[in-house]
Amino acid sequence: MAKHDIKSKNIKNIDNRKRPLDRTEDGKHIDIFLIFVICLVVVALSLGQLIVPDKEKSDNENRYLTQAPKFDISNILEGKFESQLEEYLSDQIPGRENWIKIMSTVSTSIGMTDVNGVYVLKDGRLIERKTEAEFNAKRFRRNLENVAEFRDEVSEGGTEVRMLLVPTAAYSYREKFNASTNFDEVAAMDQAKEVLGDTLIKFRNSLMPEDEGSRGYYYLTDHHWNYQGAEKGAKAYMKSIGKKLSKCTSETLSEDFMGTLYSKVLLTKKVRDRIEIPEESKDIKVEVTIEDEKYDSIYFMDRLENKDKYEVFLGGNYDRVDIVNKEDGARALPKLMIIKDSYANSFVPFILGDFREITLIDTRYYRESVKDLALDGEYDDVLVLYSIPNFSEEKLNLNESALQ
Amino acid sequence: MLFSSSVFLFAFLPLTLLIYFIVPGRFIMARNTVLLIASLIFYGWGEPKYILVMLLSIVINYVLAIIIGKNKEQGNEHGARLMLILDVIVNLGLLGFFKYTDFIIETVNSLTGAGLGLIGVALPIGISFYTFQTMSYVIDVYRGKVKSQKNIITLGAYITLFPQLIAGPIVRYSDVEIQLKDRISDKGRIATGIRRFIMGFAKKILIANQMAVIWEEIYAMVEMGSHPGASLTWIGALAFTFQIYFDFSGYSDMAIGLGKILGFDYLENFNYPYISQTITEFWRRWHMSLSSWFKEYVYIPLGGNRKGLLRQLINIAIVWALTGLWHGASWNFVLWGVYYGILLIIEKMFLLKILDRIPEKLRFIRHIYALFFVIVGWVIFNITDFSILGEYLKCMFGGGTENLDITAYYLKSRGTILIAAAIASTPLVNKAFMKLNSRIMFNTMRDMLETFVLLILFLMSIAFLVSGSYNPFLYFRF
Repeated sequence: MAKHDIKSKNIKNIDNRKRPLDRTEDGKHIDIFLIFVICLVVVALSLGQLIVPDKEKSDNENRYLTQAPKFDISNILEGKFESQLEEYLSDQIPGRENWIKIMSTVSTSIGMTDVNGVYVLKDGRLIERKTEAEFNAKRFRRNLENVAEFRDEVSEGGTEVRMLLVPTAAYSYREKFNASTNFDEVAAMDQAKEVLGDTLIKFRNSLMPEDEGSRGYYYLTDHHWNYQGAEKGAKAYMKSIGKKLSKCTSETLSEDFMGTLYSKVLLTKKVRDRIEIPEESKDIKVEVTIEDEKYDSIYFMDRLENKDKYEVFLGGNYDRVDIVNKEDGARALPKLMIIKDSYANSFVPFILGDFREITLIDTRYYRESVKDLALDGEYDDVLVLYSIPNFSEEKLNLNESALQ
Repeated sequence: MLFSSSVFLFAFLPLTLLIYFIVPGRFIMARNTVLLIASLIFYGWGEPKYILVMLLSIVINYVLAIIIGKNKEQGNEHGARLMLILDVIVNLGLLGFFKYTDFIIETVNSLTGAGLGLIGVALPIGISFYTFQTMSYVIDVYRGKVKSQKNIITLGAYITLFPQLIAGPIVRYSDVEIQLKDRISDKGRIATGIRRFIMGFAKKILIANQMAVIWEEIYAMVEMGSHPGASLTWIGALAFTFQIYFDFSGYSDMAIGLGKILGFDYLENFNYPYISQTITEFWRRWHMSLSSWFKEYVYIPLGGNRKGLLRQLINIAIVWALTGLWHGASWNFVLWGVYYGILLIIEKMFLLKILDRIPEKLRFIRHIYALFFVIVGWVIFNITDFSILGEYLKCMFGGGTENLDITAYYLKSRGTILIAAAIASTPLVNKAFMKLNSRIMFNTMRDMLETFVLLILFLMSIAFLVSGSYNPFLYFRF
C-alpha cells in the first residue's frame, strides 16, 4: 500500500499535463520540434506555390488547372478573386497528384469501396459511381421521347432508326460487387423499352463478364467499353439491321492506357489497359472530314503519346465527323448516321467496311437540326448510340436547330 | 473565409502570423491593430461589402457602451438603461434584418397568401455569433461587470477576432479583457495551440466531411421518394449526428487553438456531448458558450427558476424557442428548439428523478435514451422542408422499405469511419493517452508519439482538403 502511494506521487510530479494536447511541462524540446515541423510544412507549401511555376494542365487528371486570379478591385468586390484563389491554391499545390494519392490510399485502406465517385474493386478494376441522386431521370425520359419523335418523323422517309443504349459497368458487374448504391438502371432500361419499343436494340445484359480473369467488356481504368465491348455492340447493331458483323482480329496499339477513372483516384496499383483496334479496319481506305480538315484514317496514332489514349479513335469528340469509304464497290453500301457520345468512337472501326458513308453527330456541339440533316442527307440508317449516364445528362434536341 | 480552406491555411494564416509575431509583444496596440485588419480581411473575404456592416456594428457598440459607462458612473441608471435598450434594438435589428426578414415575409405570405416580394439579401457570415458576443459586452458594461473599452481598435479586435468570428465560441468580453491589454505567446502556448488546431482541422476534414457524404446520399434517397428503410435512415441520421459534432467542435478546437497561438484563452465549447445520459446533461456539454449566453442574458433576467414552477416552465419555453431560431431562420429550427424545450421541461418535472433511480448496471439505458432523442433532434434540425422531414422520420420508424444491400454497402464501406467517429466522440482516446505516463522516459516517448500522430493527421487532412473532397460549411444559416 505504501509502495503504491509513493508511486502515484511520483507520477504526479512527473506528469503535469492535465489533458492531451496541453503544453508539455517537461518536454519543451518536443514543443519546439512541433512548431518547427508544422511551420516547415505550411511554409514549404505556401512558398512552393509561389516559386514552382504554375502548371496549365494535369495530364493524370486529364483537366485544365485553375490559374492565378487577376488582382483587381472589381474582381475582389464581386468575390471572384477570392473563389478563384481558393481553387488556384488547391490546384497548384506542390505535389498535387501525390496528395490525391494519399487521399485515395487512406480511403481505400480504411475499407471505403468508392473514392471520388469511383468504385474500386478488389482486383483493381475501377467502375464509375453514379447514385440515384446524380442520375437525371427526368431528362433521361425527355431525351427518350425526343428520340421517339425524331424516329417517327425520319422513318417516314424510309430511314431506319435504331437506338443502342450501353449499360454501365456498375450494372454489368453487379454480381461481382455490391453496386446497390448506384442508380436504378433496370428501371431506366425498362423505361427506354417502353418509350422506344423495337427501336431499342436488345443489349442490356450483353456486357456482363462471362468468366473470372477475363478483361471483360470495359476498360479496367476507364468508363468506356473496350475492344470486346464495342465488338459486342457492333454485332448487336448489325444484327438489328439484318446483317452480320464481318470477322475481326484484334491488334494492340498500346499496353499502358490509364483512363479517366484512374485519373480520379490515382491509385498507385499498377493496373494498365490495352488499346486495341480491329486489324482489318486499318486497311480500309477512307476519307475523314473533321472541321473542314481531311484525314485518311480514323486513327490518330499521335494521341497514343498522350495521357488519354482513347483519343486515338477519331481524335476525340467533334460536332460532326464524315467518314467516306473509298474502297471499290463501296458505292453499293448503305449510308449511316450515328448520333452519339464517345462510346461510338471505338465502335465505328468494326462497321467501317459495311457502309459507304458514316456521319457522326455529337449533339453537345452540333448546333443545326439533326432531323433536317437526316432527311436531306439520304441516310439509309440512323443509329442513336449512348451510354446510359451520358444519355441522362444530354440536353437532346434532335428535331430543331439550336441556332434559331 | 473558412478555416478548412487552402486560402486560409496557405496564405492568410502564415501571413497574418508572420506580421503578428514580427511586431514585438510589448507593442500590444500594434498587435491588436494587426489582428483587427487581418480579421476584417478574413471577414470580408468573398463578400467585401459586409465589412461595412461590421464596421458600423463596431462603432455603434463602441459609442453606446461608453455612454452607458458614463451614465453608470454618474449614477444615471435611467439613461444607461435607455442606451442599453437602444443598443439591443440596433444589434437585434441588424441581425433581424439580415437573417429574419425573408423568413417573416415568407411566413406572412404562406399564412395570408399576400405574395410579398422577398428582399433576398445574403446573410453576413457569423452574424449570429458576433452579434451575441457584442451584446454580451454592452450588457456587461451596463451591469457594471466590465468597464467600457475606450480604445476602438481594442474593441474592434475583440469583436472581429478571426479565430472565433464565424463559428464561435461566443467569447465574453470579461473573459478576454485582460488579454486584450496584456498577453503572452510563449513556445508552450504556441505548441498547445498548434496541437489543438490540428485536432480541430482533422475532425472537420477527416471525419465531419466524410460523414456529410453519407448523410447527403441517404437524404437524397428520401428526398427522391425511394422510401429507404429504417436501417439506412438511421445510418444517415447517425452520420449527421457525427457530422455536426465533428464539424462544430472541430471549428471550436481550431478557434481555441488559434486563440492560444495569439495569446488568448477561450473557454471550452464542447465537452463530449454524446456521452450524456440525459438531455439536461447534453445541453451542459453541447455548444456551452451559447447555452450559457442564453442562461445569463435571457433565462435569468426573465426570472429563471425564482418565480415559481409555472414561470420557470414559461421561461424555459421562451429560451428554447429562441435557441432554435438562433440556429436559422426557418420553422424547423423553431420546432427543434421547442422539441428540446419540451424534453427539458419533462426531465425537470419528473423524468430526471426516474432516470436517477436506474441502477448503475443499467446506465446504458440512460445513454440510449439521451442519444435517441439527440439523433432524432438532429434530423429535425437538418431538414428545413417539413414534408421531407416527415417522410424521413416516417422512414426511420418503419415507414420505408428495407434494402439490406444498400445498408450493407454503407456498413462495409463506411463502417470503419463510423466506428472511428463513435470512439472519437468519447473521452476514451484521451484517457488512454493519459494512462501512458508511468515513467519519465515513457513521458517523452508519449509526447513523441503524440507529435507523430498529429503530424500524420495534419498531412492527411491537407491531402483530403486539396484533392477537392466534399467540404461543406454548416453554419451559413446561423
